[in-house]
Amino acid sequence: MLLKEYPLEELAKGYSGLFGAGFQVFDQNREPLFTVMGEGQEETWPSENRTLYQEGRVVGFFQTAAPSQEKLEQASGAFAIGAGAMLDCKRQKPNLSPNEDWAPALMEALLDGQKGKEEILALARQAELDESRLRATVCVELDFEINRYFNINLNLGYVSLRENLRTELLEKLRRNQYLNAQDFFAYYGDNHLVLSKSFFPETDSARIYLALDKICQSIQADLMAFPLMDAHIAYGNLYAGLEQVGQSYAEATEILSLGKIQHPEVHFYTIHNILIDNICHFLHPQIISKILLPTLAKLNREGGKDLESLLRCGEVFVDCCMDCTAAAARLYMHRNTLRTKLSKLEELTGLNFTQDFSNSLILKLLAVYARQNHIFSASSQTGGEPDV
Amino acid sequence: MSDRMTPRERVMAAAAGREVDCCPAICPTSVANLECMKSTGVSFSRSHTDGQMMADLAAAAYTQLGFDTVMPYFSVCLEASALGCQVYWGNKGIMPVITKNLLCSKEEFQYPKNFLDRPECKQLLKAIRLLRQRFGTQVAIIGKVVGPWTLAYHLYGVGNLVLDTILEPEETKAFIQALLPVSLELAKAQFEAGADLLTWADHVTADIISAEVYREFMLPVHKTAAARLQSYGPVILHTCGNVMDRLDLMAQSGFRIFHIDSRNSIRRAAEIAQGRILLAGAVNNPGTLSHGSRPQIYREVLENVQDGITFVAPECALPPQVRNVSLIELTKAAHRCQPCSRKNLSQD
Repeated sequence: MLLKEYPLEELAKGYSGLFGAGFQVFDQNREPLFTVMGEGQEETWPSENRTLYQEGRVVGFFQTAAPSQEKLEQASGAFAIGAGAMLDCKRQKPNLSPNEDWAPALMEALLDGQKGKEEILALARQAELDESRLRATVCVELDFEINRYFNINLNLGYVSLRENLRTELLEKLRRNQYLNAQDFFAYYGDNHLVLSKSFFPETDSARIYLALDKICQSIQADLMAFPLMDAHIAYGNLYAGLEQVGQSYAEATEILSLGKIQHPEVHFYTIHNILIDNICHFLHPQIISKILLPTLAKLNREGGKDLESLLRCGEVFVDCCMDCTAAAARLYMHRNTLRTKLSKLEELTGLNFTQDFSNSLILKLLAVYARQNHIFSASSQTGGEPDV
Repeated sequence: MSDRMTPRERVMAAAAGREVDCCPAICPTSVANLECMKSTGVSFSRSHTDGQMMADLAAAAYTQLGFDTVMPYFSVCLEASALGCQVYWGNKGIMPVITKNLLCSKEEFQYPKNFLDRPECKQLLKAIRLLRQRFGTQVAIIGKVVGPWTLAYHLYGVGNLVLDTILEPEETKAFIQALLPVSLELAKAQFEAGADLLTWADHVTADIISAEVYREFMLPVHKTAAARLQSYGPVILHTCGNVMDRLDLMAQSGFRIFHIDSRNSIRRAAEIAQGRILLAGAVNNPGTLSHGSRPQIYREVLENVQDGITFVAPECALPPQVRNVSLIELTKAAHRCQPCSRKNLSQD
């Protein structure tokens, strides 16, 4: 349908009356279609050029002029939204199936950050997505197990199987009981399956996060049907609208990378089960420079070769609420041996962590920081039991 | 068939799966528009709670627009208002909206014993009686209730309700079950007041919940409602938006008719329904009826009927700005259409 077949001039007249603004609309070849003059329009008014989209394609342009910058922004924004809605609703019956062709393109646009806001909005409108909903991004990191036989790479069908599994997984997600037509998902990159989960605004965000836990657990349960695929799941923060889907995705991937350092055996990471790891990741630079690094340097200088084991004893002791019996049991060592090691650690670090809470917190942060930054050898990176 | 059927005969015959002289044009949801408000002298904001005004405005659907039915419930807020929600009743161009939910928790709800005596219910029943007095057996009268899903989110908030299907599923099912008598009692009262058919508006659409949640939470409720109302008259399930993934489940509900939105493929919907549920709709509101030309309206009606629509209707509550000429074109087009082949439709 051509742009001139839409009642855009009526729309422009309406907004002209409302804002006193003038509009000039052009087709995709920049041929003028019509002009609506603003009230007492002068050549010196500020003006702005914008693009009109339909189904993600450029179908025309418009220029707005208004007596003030404020009016210009209001009039231009209102006309862009009104015309966008008109161009979308007037198209032939959309007959959109949830999450079909548009989802990968929209997801890529949101996560790459290469496309402008208006192009993204045009894609979202094409998909009939509600822009007012809150959204959190769930990232499923997939690891396909490919059996290798001895030292040779035989074609044993694993590669084609992997593609089938990717398709089946999408189908499985499409049938997930907690997902509705406002949610969309797509593969991003080689091994990330990304879901934008929507929620109604004005809802208690604490409850939304609890619901997200349950949704991710159900996705995790769905993934159990795919034994050749290992997966880790995490979600980012909740934001209003689509623009922050990329930010929420970045947060989800950050949680994944932090979680995998501490608990590689866990499949679903939340802020709750990597709380200290997350705090440690965002530590104030002064805490690192003034407290953690000097203490680690002191340990390195004087601690001998058993440093990592020593620090691990201290961490488990703190994890067990300074209960020496529980910590010794967890470390499979005698209480007296543990006490000796803890005394040595206190002496080396100067941290009175058996008696003082802030010192015990520093010790815990020290252990996590060392692990996150690979300060010691990578041989025994795993920590205590995850809190899941 | 040699003689022309009356509108009511046409609608009831089609609902029963019998032969009809032409396609019925019906209004399961509001067709109140600005022109009819003006010509009947009815204020839209008062037409939701004043029986006489409800009847006068509803009558225009037949007298001015040519529909085979009249339907006096123009919003989706009466039950919620009767139960205590705050409602803004709109103005001539704006549909009513609920401005304050009633419940902070699901457990607070108790079914009031005098529900049918609340002014909102009494006025609706009065409107149906007035329409029956006025039209006798000439025109089919459609009553309307809001189903327990929609009522639940009106009382408790849609965000809360959807979250509770995830966090507290059993309590949510109990809450919906507790709301069922509200819809059922008002439905029965409307049939007893003179309604021939009834719209059961329950917005269990894909934009809000998955098909699986519909199956688990709502299908049993819909089956109960359909069974309890079967002896009263045909019931039209109305759900806006995309429902294709749950239409097969809806067809199992026992409701006689489904009022379908133009976002769905009608041909595919008819294939899924297989006569278990008849289809009403599905002329597009924002595009075709609001901005479309008369030939476009005619073409869409024709395509709908060819694809399997039994009752021609706007897809949902009409924007009040839609002009009479568009709606008259819709009803004329329906009445010019011969019904589609009934080979797939079950007989009562």
